[in-house]
Amino acid sequence: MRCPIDEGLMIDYLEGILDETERERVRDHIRSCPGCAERLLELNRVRGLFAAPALRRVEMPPEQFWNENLRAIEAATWRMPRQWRSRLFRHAAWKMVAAAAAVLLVFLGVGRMGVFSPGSPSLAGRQSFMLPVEQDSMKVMRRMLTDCTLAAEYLQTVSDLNADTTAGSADKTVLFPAGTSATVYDGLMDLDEEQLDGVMAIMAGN
Amino acid sequence: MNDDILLVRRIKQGEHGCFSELVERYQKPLYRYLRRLGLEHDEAADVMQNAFIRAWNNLSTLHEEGNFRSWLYTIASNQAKNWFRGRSRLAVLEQSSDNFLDENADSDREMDREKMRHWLDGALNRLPAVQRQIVVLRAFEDTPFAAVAEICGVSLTAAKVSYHRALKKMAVWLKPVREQVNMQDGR
Repeated sequence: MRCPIDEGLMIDYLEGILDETERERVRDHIRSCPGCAERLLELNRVRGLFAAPALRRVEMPPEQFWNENLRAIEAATWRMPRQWRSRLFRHAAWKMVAAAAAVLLVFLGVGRMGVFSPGSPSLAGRQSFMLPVEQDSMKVMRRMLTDCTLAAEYLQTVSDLNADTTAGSADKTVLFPAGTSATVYDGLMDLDEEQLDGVMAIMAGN
Repeated sequence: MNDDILLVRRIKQGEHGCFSELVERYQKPLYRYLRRLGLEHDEAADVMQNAFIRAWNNLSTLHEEGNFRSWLYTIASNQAKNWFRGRSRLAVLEQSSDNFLDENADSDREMDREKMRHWLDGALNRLPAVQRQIVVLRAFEDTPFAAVAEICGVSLTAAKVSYHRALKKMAVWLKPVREQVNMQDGR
């Protein structure tokens, strides 16, 4: 009569991956079949070899080997993985393109307003057509231009006063033009005469 | 395993130093696995290093971070196969069980263990590559069958069948060896 359990089932039994019903079926058969019991024993002996610590042992290199191995791998992997680098570059490239586009937009906007053209019409009427970023940029630039112009006038006044040797000229004062940035003038006040002359020359376009 | 998930995620988020922790965790088990597959020390060391470097370079393709161990073993197994392809199997076959039978009788238990270990290595090397890989993973590394199947690139059923066949072969090979040992010991 053909045995109801095969060696596959026996191995699964030994591996402990059968459910309780199947396990009981194998046990019942083994009790009554010496041939299958012997086969199960042989298979278990092989598994016993795998499980024996003395036989499982693999001669391992000394600790120094593992440290050197770790260092070698760290040296080979210090750079970001190739795939990540290319991905990051693509990511960074998009950022750069976006930044370049924003700068271009601002300059186009400035150019469209004709801010650098002499005799250009007032910007106030055109600001409603601008993007918020353009409006902010324009405000900053207008402020800078105004400050520079007034600073040049202020410096000229200071210079004229210094050159004035008439009686009572030492008591004259020069006030900051109203509504301008005090920091520009604070910086100018720290300059000596020679430096002031240099700044004047630069501002006069010499 | 959960630690693997955390480490892999941290590496992906830019903490590249965490990769060293994975290397420290797996370098010894991986080396042992490769040696049991039949690689010599130098070969196992090279394959192990290459496997880690490949894992590093391709970590972004590992979508299930919990599978790092299986994934690493798969890479190492593929590398090991390349070594086997380029190497003569003659030297391996010389370590067959017949050598054990030819050796002089010695009832010393320590010697028996050494001989059995030698026989076991020879028997493992006599198995076809996939069966050997499956036996090593399952029997020595205690890897679940599902992970064995994944590492070896076979179905779960095929992994089990291969394991069964390998064990049956080894049981057949072991029988005369055991009989000789028993005879020598008068058991």
